[in-house]
Amino acid sequence: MLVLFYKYFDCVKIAIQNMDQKQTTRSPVISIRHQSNRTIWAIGGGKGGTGKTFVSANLAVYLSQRNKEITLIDADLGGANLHTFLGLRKSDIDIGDFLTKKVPTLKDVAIPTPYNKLRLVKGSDNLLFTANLNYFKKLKLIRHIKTFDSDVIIIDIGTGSTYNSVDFFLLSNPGILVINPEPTSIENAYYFLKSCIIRLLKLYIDHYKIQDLIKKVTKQLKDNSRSVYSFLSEIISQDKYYADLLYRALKKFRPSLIINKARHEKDFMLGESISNVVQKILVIDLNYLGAIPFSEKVHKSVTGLTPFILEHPESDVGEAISSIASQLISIDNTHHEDKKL
Amino acid sequence: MKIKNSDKKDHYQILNVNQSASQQDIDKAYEIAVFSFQKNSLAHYTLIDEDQRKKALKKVEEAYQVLSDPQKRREYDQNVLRKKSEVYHNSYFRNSTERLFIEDGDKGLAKLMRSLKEAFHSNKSQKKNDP
Repeated sequence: MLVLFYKYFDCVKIAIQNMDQKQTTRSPVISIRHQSNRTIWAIGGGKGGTGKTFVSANLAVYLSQRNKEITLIDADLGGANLHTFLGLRKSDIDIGDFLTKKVPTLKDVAIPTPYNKLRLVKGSDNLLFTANLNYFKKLKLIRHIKTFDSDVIIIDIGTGSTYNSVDFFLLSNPGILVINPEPTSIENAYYFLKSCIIRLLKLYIDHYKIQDLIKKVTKQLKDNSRSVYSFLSEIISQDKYYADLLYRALKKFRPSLIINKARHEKDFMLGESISNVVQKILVIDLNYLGAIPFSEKVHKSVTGLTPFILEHPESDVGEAISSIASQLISIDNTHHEDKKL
Repeated sequence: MKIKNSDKKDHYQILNVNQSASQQDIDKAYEIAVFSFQKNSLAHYTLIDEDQRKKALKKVEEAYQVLSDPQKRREYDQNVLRKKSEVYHNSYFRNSTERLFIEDGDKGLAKLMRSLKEAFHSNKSQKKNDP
């Protein structure tokens, strides 16, 4: 009976907390995690030169050749060159025209490409303007991205761990990290993941009006010697309900990982190890999609302005890209089946 | 207050395998886990300090010692995991009520009270019927 009483007491506490939550207004950013029915893959990873744009372009071309409607968006707001990977040299219209209100919708700046079923939203030449996108423009951009009715929307989010990159990454399902088997690349990827985690936790904390925990969140995560598990256990000691809620929020965020330019056998094992370590230290599940081997041919295809996957579909790199694309499509199918249930 | 023992990871979770994993799966998982926490591995680069790395590796070794020995694994499954599952069932009650509230709002409270009442009565009648 005593146990029953305690359980009931817990329920009442939850009910009160729930009533409080109902009074809060839904923040616009947290709602972007919940409402998107579109399949959006945001490709990022912190460091420049890891091959994000190469992966974005080749996944897009590969899937468009397999009858999928693809929209490719160059959101590398500080240095766009996705069009070059597709062999397009110049365009009269780009994402900047939408952001500066020269055209009313993002669809107006989506241009056809030489590849059937693939549209491109070209990045802007006006670096100073687009790299410093303000909050409201970013929300507008996100809203318009979701209006594309393609099978898959692929966003190349470029380098760095800015709010822009992190928010595009959190919007997607899944976000895909492209890293190289090098310490600098891995270090930047961990910074990026930590930024995503902090951003996600803060969004939930703001949404549920538990800001008094914000200081603790930031303080705990800045210190490298403390894991997210330790952080959550601190929160558990204060409030189990919210600790559980934050834990579930982190578990819903399931980014994927690609190792690019793998040269040695241990590079091919690195992805699974990173995924293992991240799950233990940062709590989140990082889904390893596979490694793309290093190849000189990639460099040649970039200078030749032809998508690699069209020139060398049977190569090791081509097969790695097709395997990654198939896995992503299968994740997407599972995601939609889960939603139906 | 520290995190409860029941929230700590068991050997299967440490090696990242299911409880039904074959010996081959366990060996493979062990290989990856050791590779992850080796001193020169890039996988933990900047993420943990040397102490944490050593502790993690020690846990991996402990888990493998138990799970790679069929006899020890059987005993572990019977003793440790059974207790953990009992704790889980107790905590499940709280989680399921949370879901009721989150999904159904105020109606959830009525539903919960009904199920509490039913659970209480069924428990009472079961006790009566017990010889």
